[in-house]
Amino acid sequence: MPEAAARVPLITIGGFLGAGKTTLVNQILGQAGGQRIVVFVNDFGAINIDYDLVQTRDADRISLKNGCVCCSLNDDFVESVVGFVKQTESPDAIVVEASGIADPRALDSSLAMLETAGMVRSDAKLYVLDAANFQDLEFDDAETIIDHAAVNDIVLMNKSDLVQPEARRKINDLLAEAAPYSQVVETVNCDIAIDMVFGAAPVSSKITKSSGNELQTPQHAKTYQSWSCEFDGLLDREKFEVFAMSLPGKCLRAKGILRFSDAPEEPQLFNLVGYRATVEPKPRTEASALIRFVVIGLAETFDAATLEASFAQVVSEKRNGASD
Amino acid sequence: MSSQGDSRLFHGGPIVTMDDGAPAPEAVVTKADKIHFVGLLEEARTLARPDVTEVDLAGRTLLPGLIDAHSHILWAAKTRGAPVVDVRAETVPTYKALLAKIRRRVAAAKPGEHLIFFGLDAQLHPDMEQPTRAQLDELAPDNPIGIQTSNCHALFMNSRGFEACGINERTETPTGSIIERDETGRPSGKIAEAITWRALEVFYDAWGDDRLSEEFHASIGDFIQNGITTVTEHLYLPHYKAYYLSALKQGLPMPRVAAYQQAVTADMQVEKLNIGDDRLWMAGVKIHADGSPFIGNIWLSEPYLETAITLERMDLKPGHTGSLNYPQDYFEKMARTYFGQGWRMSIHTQGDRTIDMVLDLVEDILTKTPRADHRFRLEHCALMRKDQIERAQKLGVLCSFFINHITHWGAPIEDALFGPERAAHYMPAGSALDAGMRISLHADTPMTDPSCLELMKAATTRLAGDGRCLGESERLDSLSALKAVTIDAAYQIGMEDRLGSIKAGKHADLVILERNPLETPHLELANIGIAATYLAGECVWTNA
Repeated sequence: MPEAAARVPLITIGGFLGAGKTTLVNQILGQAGGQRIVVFVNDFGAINIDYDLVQTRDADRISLKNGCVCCSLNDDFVESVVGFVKQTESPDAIVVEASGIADPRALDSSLAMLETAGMVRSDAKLYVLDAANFQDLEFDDAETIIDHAAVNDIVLMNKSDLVQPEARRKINDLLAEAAPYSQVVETVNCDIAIDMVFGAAPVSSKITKSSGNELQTPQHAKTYQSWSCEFDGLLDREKFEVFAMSLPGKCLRAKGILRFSDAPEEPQLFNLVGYRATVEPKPRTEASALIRFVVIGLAETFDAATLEASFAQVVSEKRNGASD
Repeated sequence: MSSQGDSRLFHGGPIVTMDDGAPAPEAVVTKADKIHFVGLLEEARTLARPDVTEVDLAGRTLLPGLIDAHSHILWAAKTRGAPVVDVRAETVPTYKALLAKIRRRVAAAKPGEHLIFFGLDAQLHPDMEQPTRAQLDELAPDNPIGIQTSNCHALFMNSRGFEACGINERTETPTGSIIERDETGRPSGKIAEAITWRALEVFYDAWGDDRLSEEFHASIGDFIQNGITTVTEHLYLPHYKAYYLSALKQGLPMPRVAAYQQAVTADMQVEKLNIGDDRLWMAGVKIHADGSPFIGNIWLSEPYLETAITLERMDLKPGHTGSLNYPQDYFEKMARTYFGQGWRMSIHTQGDRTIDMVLDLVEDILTKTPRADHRFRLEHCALMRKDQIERAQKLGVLCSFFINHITHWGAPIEDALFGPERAAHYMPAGSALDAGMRISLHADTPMTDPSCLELMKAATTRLAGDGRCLGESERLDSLSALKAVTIDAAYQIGMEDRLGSIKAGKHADLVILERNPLETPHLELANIGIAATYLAGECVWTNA
């Protein structure tokens, strides 16, 4: 593993049988948009990929023309991940669809191992909850789902169209108490914006000014909003930490390449999903000294103007570009 | 499953015997429930009976069955098995979420139904408050409820709970226990140490025998599936015997159980148990010299740190240095009595001052009545100092380390309880090894889940949940860690001549691992798959 390579973000998808995990996986594969994604699925037979997209198909691996790969999740999981990460061109992201009823923590030790070995970075943990089915469950089954949901960053309250508003509110209230570190997103057919799954890439050199964008997704055009900026300058580390701590609740995801005034030559990668944030040194693969930052949230709670103003306070030095 | 008379020939993969005399043989033959031969394959084939079953390891590794030297296999079923509701911070991340879960469970309860919630944690539930009796009465007016801390040493109950357990203002606090009371003497919610476990028995009894048998069956499975063929019952009580006997009668693959009877007084009868061919025996007597570091019940020479966790969530006073569970003379009388009866002693010690006291006592006893091979054990040993390790080694005192404290509570141990200097030598397994001690490692199930491979990972990496390393100098090498869950664990329970290594004549307790732990990076140890477990010559579990 060359020292300069960035760890590959690894996303997990949990949820009971029938909640909609496979729908989500199919969406991810269909909307990869140029990203090379490797997906591990438990129920390989259920993956339904448009024949036109398939390049090759083996007993436990489907390669797509868009560069994505779908593999069966088996005992060789760790070795398979290592194999992908060590390829000359390592994937942009790895997605693991965990088993239907298994303990959501069953994969934890494998993931921790890959993470400590510098191969992957634990990114979003997604959980798909079947809202239509949830209200009819007995105590034990409902609690199992609640316990599982609570260890995830983002809970998709799926099939929300099949549930009355009052029942939706009850589930939201329950999760707010039982899963305080999880963000809940109501979905239909798991129609979460793909940027929410992977975090928008803050690397587009096109944006030189801050912008508040509505994300265009096929079904949920106005559900999400984002704010981003790019400029040449430096940030105050302590102020940034305070700012980052204030983000959960205001957004679902944030991502950035940062430079701090106390170490201007050491760019850092910042990632926030739900309530979990990581900052790690960015491998120096490009010369650009620009700071880039993007925040994505649900439209109803998103306040781009306030975010912009708060972020401006963090900037200790700016040479060009603008975030105001 | 196969019948008792079977013979097996294992070959085709690495064989880690843990026996210095035969470090890497080609083959192992078992005959009925014993190991018959260890050596060259050709010789094994000549010796084996014509009807021998050949087990091709196919590159996987054969080891002696694993041993957890301090666990509670039956008590784990009582403590954690259904209908106990798991509220540990792993899945119930806050105190608020915990209360919400209790509310939902109470809403689904039958009137009068006994309810226990396991896993309240001052270190890991960030908004934790000490629940009061009045608050719990409001939550559950019609059901006896108890909330047990994840360290097992304390219980919070409502009025119906106190009534069910018969604990009231007239109840005298038993020596070695704590009952917190209001100014009128009425129990105010929290009880701790020995009385906790007595009170919980009332709840377990209310759930009936079928429940316990079922959960004991599940607990047995948890150990066997992890390749653990010998365990201990470190708080054995005489009425437990019926459950082990019943499990054996039903033919369940119950690991061998070394029982350590719990002493709370000096006048207890300890039964000289020995059931079957080393299936259940009385290994010694256990006494709590102190309690849990996570509720402040350990005796220290230097106080706890003063942090939000110690002062608010644990409700300790500034400068808290804890104390012994029993008055010193009361404890000493118990220890002298049972040692005097010839029992091997196993003493729960966490704080360094407690350890000073126990080592003083051992020295005094051994000076007056020397005994070779006494195998006096200290359990857990969180804050044992280097000078104490050297002293223990000279006295022949053995340490068993609860190394999973580091993986589960490493961050608060360093940041909130004891600071970096003490954290760097917390559970000082490396120092004990350097001093030449034969140590063991344990998971203390039900407090943490049974897995000797996790113990090995914890001891070789000392990585906390947040990725920090607590004390690089205390890390073990893989072979030493493996000894601590095989041959040296067998030594500590007094069975090194029959268990803990692959050697002709020993019990045929074996485990097949997907990878050789001695050639696996430390970080990956806990991921090694268990392919099969053999107990007394029988294959009792496979992953096939």
